[in-house]
Amino acid sequence: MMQIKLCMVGAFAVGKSSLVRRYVQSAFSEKYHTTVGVKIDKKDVTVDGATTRMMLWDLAGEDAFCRLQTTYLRGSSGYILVADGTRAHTLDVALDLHGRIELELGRLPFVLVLNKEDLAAEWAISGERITALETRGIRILRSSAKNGDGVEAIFAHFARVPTEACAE
Amino acid sequence: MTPADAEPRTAREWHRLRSLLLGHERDSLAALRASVGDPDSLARSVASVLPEAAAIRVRQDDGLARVLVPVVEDSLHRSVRENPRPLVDALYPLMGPAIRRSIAETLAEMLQAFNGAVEQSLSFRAVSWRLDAWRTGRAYADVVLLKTLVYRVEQVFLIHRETGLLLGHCVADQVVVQDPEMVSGMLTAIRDFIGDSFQVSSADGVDAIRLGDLTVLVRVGPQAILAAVVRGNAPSTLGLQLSEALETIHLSHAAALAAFDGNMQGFADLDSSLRPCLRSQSRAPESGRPWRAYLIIGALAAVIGATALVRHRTQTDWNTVIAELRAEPGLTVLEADTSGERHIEGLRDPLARDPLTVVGAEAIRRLGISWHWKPYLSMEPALTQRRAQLLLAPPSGLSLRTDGDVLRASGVAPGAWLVEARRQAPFVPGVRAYDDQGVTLDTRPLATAAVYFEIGADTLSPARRARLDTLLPTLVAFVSAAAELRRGYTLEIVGRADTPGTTESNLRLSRSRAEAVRSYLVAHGLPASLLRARGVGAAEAAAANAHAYTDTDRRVDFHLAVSAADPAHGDAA
Repeated sequence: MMQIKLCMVGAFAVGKSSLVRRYVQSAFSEKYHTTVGVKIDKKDVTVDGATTRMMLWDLAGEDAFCRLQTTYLRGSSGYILVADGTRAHTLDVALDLHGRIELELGRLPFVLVLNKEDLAAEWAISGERITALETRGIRILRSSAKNGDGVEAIFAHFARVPTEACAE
Repeated sequence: MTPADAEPRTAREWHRLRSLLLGHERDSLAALRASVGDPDSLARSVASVLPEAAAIRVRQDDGLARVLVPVVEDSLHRSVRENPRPLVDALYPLMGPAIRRSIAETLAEMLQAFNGAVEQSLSFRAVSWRLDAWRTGRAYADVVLLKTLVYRVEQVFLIHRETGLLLGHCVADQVVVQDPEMVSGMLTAIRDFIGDSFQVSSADGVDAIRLGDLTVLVRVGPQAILAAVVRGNAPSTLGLQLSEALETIHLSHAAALAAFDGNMQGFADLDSSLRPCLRSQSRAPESGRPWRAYLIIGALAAVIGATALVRHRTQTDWNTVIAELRAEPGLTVLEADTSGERHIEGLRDPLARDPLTVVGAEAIRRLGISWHWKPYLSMEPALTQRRAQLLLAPPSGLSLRTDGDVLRASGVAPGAWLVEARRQAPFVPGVRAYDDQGVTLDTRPLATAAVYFEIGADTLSPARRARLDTLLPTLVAFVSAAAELRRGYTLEIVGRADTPGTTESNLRLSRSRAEAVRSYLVAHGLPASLLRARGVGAAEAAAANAHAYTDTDRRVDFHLAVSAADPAHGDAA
């Protein structure tokens, strides 16, 4: 069996925790976010008969008062950048984080997840911007923590071939 | 030919001569020069013989070592300065054991000294531990450790240092655990958190997290972290053991650790390395025998036994007291109550012994006996005898004893007492019959009662009458008692003569002397039937004094005689 460490990063209140809450095994409460700054969950994903155990490091959301501790990303096989599709600046924060992570830890596989897809009416990110990002080779997934759409796909992406994203 | 021409020609000739003479050697010389002159080829040549050359030189002297020392030192310094990690990683499996061995030896010495000091101490705890050591057959130091260090290693985590992923996990029996993989991650996160927050260098990191009686001991290796969750007071040796286990794993799984990419296949056999770390020590070392239970049971048995013994003894004593009281004449136990206080209700003859004397005051006090005696008359022979003694007041020489309900008197007694006793004995309670057959009349009063005569005289002169008058009360009392007793007693009046004179005249004289006294006594009211007079002449006097006589030979004296014919002789009830 394979075990990998995955991190979830993003701005404050983009729905990182909600994204995983219903789909992972959890032993710790959310208060760890405000204390230690990270909460660890577990998710087993089986693709083509091979199970990968993902240890999900759900890092506290970055805001004006709390900077991301990149130490937590050390040893990670990849990370999930989460942005709120209804708040454009959260995408900026996510991309900023991505830049900082690459600067400190080098290139790692990652996906950009645009959450709250269910709130289509309030969608604030233009298709052009998404296309531009995809052109840069950034893999973008859409999800809804509310109805669960796209959530499994995020994990499956890393389960399949963790190094695939890196090749881009 | 000019010298100028000659010179080149000479040189050319020399050259030809050389090539003629040296030929091949010249070429190889040129090749040799080229190889020595070219650094690359020279390096290749030296490299091929360098180890051998070094070996030869080392055998010769220490010149090589002398030259190399500063070089090696400088290299090490530079390596540490630039990047200590490779050197630390390389030395890690060696340094730990070396340092520990040195520390362990120092500690062993200290412990020995400390042990000596402890062994000298005689506190209660030390004594009880020593007792435990003796009882369980352990070394004293072991017992001290057992008593002071109580802990249990509940879980052991082997965590990949870089990723925080769990490589191996071991859990003690009956320990409830959270998901070890998540705990492993969280533990790494917390170490990172503390390291980042408090500027702890990542090489050392956090080596223990303590909360209440729970301690997480952490040992950090180059590639992996070993964390042990300990409940209780972990001994310092546990940290050592963890370090050793971690070193062993680093050695045995060096390749798998260095190339770890999340593949768990290389770490399936970690259990044998981790499980020995699940140590525990309990506070109460169970010995083979449940001494405490033995002691309690023993004490209980002793108490029960003692109680039973006391109870048994008390009961026995009580029974003895009752038996003694019942056996005592004149005491009758009516009721012996043991339901509450021990109490006796009974009857007591006033002449019976004091019950306190019978059973002893000590027994009464010990058993807490109270009693109440009502007076009564006991008809028991012993009491009857005592009562008769008291009422009849027998003279000395006479004893009274009871034979059933018959009171028997024996010995010698004055006639008056005998008469009185016969009258009173039937009134003594308990006496049905009185028997004084065994009593002889006290004749001592008669022994001195004699009347003396002058030579040849047989009449009662005034002096002799006066003498008889003084004897009269004794004689009257004697005779009347004799009559009363009706045993056929008679008073024998014996007349005597002295030896001079014929036997016949003496006999006659003695008879008439006796008759004269008898007549006088009859005249003074003594019953004639009980008086018998006889003369014995001088026979007895002659027998007593063969050649002489005395004045006292002529006399009349008195004796008791028993008439066999008396019909009343026998019991005089």
